[in-house]
Amino acid sequence: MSLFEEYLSLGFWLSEGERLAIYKYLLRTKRRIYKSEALILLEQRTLKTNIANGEIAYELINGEVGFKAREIGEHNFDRCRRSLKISRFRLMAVYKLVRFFAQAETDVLRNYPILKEQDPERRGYSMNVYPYYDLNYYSRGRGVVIGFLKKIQRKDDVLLERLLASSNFR
Amino acid sequence: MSLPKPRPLIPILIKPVVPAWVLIAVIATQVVIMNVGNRNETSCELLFQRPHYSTSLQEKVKIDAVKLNITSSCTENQLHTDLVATISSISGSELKILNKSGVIRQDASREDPTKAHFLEFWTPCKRGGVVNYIGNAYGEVTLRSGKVVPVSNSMDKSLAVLCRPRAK
Repeated sequence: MSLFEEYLSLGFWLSEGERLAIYKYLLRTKRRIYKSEALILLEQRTLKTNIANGEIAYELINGEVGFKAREIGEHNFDRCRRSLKISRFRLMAVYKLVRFFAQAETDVLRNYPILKEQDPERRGYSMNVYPYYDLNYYSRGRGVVIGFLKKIQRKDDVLLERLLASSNFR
Repeated sequence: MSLPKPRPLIPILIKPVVPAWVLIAVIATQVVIMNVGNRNETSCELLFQRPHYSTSLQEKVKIDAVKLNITSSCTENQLHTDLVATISSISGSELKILNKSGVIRQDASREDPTKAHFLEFWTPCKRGGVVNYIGNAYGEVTLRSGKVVPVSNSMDKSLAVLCRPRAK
């Protein structure tokens, strides 16, 4: 079992730094997959994927992509969790969609991990209001300039290096 | 010789025109209306659980940590709550921020949609140490009706927590 596979079961218990590391890890290691999924989504307007114990349904309507999620085995998808305006230019659209997919998978991994045993605490869906691809994430909503300054000061969590080393990704 | 007509002791102008019982009835009605109005006003509050050593974090990710659970509770159903929470330690008069969260959105509980339970705020601790913790949080609640209610609160006082699992 790779280190990343171990983390598929730790959703609720990850620290914020670890979640950001997983987002960056997904962005680096699944970029090719995300690009081909982005092309499918642009073509077909809908796309379903899954990660850990969750399923994700993407939908593209009027130049805006959104996703809904559900635990595997549940009947209905819940409400739209995030949305993002994308460019009419394919290259720019794919660039944004790749980030959107990594964010969606990190969100789903957080909420629907592969549990080895039932979690005693009943939890509702939780997420960061600002996605990792938005500089407002780093500034807690105080604007992109502060966000940019905070981002460049922030060091990557050691988990990112460990995940990349564990997957032999160069 | 005619005597002047005596003037009334209480001038006519200040004599009550409205009977006393009507006045009481008007005041009573106003009080009732105000109470009904207040009852329609939605209020939300943040409730803090005692900070505690997290057994689940020790079991799952093998770290020693102190957890602070927070619940936002409203008088009507909510959609979700957005919060920024801070866990700090107090030593003498020195306050040190140990963990400040990002802006976290938590869905309303399925069992009781008037509440949203935040179970992910924690900070690592040193095994065997005792630290005084205090927490505060601010944010806003989005109600099912679409109304947004700002909320903020902090723990009344700091609480000492021993960083060690309870003996079974």
